[in-house]
Amino acid sequence: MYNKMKFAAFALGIACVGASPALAANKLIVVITPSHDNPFFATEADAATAKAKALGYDVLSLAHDDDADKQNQEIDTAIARKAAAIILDNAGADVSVAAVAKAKAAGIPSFLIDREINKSGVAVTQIVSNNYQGATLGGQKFAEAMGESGEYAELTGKPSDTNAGVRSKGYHDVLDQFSGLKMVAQQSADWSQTEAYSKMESILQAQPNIKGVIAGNDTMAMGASAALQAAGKKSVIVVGFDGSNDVRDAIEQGKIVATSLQPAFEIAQMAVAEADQFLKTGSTGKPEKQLINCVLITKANADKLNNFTLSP
Amino acid sequence: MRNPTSHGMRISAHAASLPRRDMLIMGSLLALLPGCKIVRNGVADKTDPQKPDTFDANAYVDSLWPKVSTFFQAQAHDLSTVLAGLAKDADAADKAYGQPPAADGGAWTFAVKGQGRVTQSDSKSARGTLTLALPNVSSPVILQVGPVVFGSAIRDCLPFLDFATFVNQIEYAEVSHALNAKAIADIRHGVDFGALVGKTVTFSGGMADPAASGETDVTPVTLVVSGA
Repeated sequence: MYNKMKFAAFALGIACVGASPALAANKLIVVITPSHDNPFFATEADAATAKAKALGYDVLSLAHDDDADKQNQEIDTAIARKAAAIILDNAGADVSVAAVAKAKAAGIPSFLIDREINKSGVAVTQIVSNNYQGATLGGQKFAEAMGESGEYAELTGKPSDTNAGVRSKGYHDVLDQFSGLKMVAQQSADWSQTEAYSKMESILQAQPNIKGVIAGNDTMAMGASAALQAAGKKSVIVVGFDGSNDVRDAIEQGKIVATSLQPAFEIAQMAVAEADQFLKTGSTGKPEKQLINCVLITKANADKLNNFTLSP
Repeated sequence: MRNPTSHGMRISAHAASLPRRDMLIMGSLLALLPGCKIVRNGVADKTDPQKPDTFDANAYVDSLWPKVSTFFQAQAHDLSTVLAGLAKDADAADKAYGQPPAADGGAWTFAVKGQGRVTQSDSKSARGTLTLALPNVSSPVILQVGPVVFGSAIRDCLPFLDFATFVNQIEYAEVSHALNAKAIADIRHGVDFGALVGKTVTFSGGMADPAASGETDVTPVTLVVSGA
């Protein structure tokens, strides 16, 4: 019975979303992501743009800088320009629901990447990095590198971003099980490298004995690592998240132990391919929520990583 | 979900704490009840301030546990059969014995059972393990006995848990965490693992395809010492 019910609900869902697009003659795809200052989002935008152009679409690429109002204006722009589809890495799991619903009401299907929103049936697809799984990989490697004991600090991301919380939870679901690991500082550095640098400096003054730093993304890991190097604390264990080329290089130089790669390039291109399929046939043929696992990057495989893609 | 029709009026009070699929079913069952008003969009919805995040994974897993136990008793495949199948034809063995990964890039998982001799107990790490030698299995089999266990093999091998029916990956993750905690608490209860070396144990549990990690690593759901 479970399966039948689920199927019925699923079929209904498909019927609802399938009815909305008027299959616009307009060939514009609008790509909206957080700030391109972070290479992760720049890669997403570039990958989506390249794929859309290859499929014959015009592309408008915009950044919302994690500002919900700005995101809202950009959705309005997409509606005004009668876009065929929106590729969106959203500015917040709750605040983005209305913006995506507005686009849907205007007949524009949205394809979400990287971050999920807390409502189903509004976007056509949500292709989400398995941030929790990635964080448990990073947490496990961190616990191992710490020898399962010692004091550590955590740098968390922008509180409005769901993934900041998801990653921190993933880390703690692993680390809190080890009675020998003690978190002595936890601060948000807003995903920012410069902020992570200054936060790390002040943490070091208050907690000179920390043995490790676990960071919610790679830009913060880079900031923390630079502050640790400057303070002569070269043996402190640092773990990041994202799989950027900067952290890859730091892993190879022994300054950072590990990061979890989110396949940003692959996710962005998948979303555009699914948008194209949806516009042509009225269905992506895939479930709305698609989870993509992260891969742990250490010294063992860092040389195979480039632009958020791991070669086999 | 126990006998929902006789408890129809109480369902809504618990609705926010259940995964979407269960509520879909409840909603459908409610539809069969005359005089009941169906609330539109009665799925867990965090954007609705009337329905805050009240998902309690431990309570959910407690209520699910009888079904989990029954599943491992009735549906777990012999570990040696699964491993032999994977070695011969992985695709065929995946389909015959396994659950597909919930995420792209994830491993297939298997509900397995077996009996073997404990050759080693390692409790130096908080990730305590028992190493077993099984007849007809050439590689050592690692049982994660905790207190710290890694991975989500128990959740992932259960065919009745589906990521798409949870509100988000946090709830899905919490279910895995709670399943591991419940299983490991049961298994560790009153057991001196060091004293098991040399003894024969019977187990069931979840296992990710060993090809992913290079180790035959089982997160146990049951562990019974023979002759104890």
